[in-house]
Amino acid sequence: MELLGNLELGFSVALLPLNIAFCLLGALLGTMIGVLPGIGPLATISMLLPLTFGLPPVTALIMLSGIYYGAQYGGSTTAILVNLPGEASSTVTMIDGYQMALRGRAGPALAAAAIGSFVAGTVATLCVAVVATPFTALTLSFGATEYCALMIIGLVSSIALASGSIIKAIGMICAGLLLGLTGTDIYTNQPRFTFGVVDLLDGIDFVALAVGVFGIGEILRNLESGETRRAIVGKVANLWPSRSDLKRMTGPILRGTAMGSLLGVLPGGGALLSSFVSYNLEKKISPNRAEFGHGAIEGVTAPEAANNAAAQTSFIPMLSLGLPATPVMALMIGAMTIQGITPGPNVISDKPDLFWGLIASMWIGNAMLIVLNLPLIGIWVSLLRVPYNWLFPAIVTFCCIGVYSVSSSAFSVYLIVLAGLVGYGLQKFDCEWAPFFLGFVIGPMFEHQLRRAMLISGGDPLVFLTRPISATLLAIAVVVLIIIAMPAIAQTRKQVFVDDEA
Amino acid sequence: MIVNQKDLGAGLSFLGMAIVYGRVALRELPFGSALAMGPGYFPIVLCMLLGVIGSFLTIRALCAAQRISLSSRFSWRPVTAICLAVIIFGTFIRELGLFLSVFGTAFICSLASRQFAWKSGVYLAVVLAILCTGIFAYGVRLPLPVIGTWFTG
Repeated sequence: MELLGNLELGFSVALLPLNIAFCLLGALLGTMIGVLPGIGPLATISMLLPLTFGLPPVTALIMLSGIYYGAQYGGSTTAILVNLPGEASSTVTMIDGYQMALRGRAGPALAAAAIGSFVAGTVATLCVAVVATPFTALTLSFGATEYCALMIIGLVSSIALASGSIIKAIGMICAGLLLGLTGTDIYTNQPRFTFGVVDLLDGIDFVALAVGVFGIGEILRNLESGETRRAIVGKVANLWPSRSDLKRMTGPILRGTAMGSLLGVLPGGGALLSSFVSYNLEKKISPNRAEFGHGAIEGVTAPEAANNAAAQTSFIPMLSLGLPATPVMALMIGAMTIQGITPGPNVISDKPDLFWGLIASMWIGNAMLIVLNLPLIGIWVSLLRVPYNWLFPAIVTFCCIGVYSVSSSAFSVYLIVLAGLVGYGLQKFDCEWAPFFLGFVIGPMFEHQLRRAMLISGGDPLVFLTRPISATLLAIAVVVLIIIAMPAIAQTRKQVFVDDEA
Repeated sequence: MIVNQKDLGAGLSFLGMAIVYGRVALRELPFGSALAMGPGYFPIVLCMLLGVIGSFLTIRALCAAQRISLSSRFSWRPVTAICLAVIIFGTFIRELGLFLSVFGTAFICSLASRQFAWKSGVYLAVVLAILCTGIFAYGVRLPLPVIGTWFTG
């Protein structure tokens, strides 16, 4: 079978000592930043991008991916023990996880989260392996029109990801698209929106922007309250879930995995979305419905399984299309470009060792993570005792070094400050950044494909509806938009996010 | 007047951006046609959309049924300290070198916290400077000077 041969190739790459070492490093770093609230995979990967310059491309990607899915594991620890989202996608886990901890069941809650993540990660990686090849084949027939339609789905579904007002999310997308256009227009060589600044001719530095908004902006927000203490609940004793716990976990894990795998592929990034969709699903169908909100183990496993599955499958559009489903994937693309690889449908045929090596490393990484997160949980708990006053100067410093070494320009460092301030300000107005970044990354690609599509069709916008694939994709986008705007769903979204704040 | 400050802030920000970018685009960038889109086509469409969203939010904010204020207080101390720290890093990294830049940035950063103490601030900055120099300059060999041009002559 072809798949087996490919996987064999993959494992032969992923099992090289160098790659194992960097996979472990990625998993360690990922868990660490997942556990620490206030720093996410996006800022971390941007900061650590320079670390990968000297590495072979596969190794670099293996490490960066490890950080990303490792963060999904670590986030649950903080959610359960401190009632803070260590990672955005673990907000839902807080609801029942923290309740379990309050009832002295922190151990089983942590185990449930880790086991759920592990099963989901393993299964979802298999999905990536199986789906990637046919998906790539399908997309080879895509023209400019189809790419445009695909990106519209991405932008629309990123609205679902935002917890607040839909209109503000659309506004942030537009702002992102506009800022993404900064730089030299590739068709006419005319500089756009550079305001006479030479450093902007190549566009706005994505890494600096991401570090500013997610690194500095977050720190400013955390510091304004002045409170830096954290209360850790309970001791983590008897980690292993009982037989009845295990029985109750099985269904939610499987459903969470399915949900996460499916939603993760959607551009717009499904980790957060899938975790709350699967939480609500369990809440509806579980026989222990009454326990939800009071420490139901299903309410911990299902969202954790879902967010980890989504983290894995969000690699599918990136690897097979070169389209970033999330801002983190945009950074991965950036990392590939730095290494001289053009992301897109050709990667799988031109660089099979990179493609399959990365996939194989995900299994290895997930296996490492379950060891890191269960037997070694004590280490991460003690990490939570590190005072924030030590943490944030370190984060700021790493941010500066990271951005400076990627761009070697003082301007990019100043950009961090600007982005941090704007990020901090707009957050006060309940504007969210995930849709913005998707727009920012997609902006230039979208305009490019739109212009091509219009040139080819002779300026006829109906081409989007007459070509079957693009019409289907646009129909999906409309359905997604309707679903988001539906009062029932809007209510659920609101409710979930209100629960989080409680 | 009853005002939803959050919507107002967001609305005015979007509106402001739409106006600034729209002006630049209209003045400098040719619009082109649907067939051959000029560099101004897509930006102008976006600005119009952003302008509509911004106006809608602003109007909705002014007619809000209940007053919604910005949630938390603002304090100058963290904002000033952190911005200053980053700007100093960017400006003087070549001149100061990695070791001293990290020391300075980390120390100024720690001033951001209200629980700042001299001893722990200096201690933290030294530890970070040693760590960062070790990891980034000697470990992964980033092309960053450990000692800056001010000291090497």
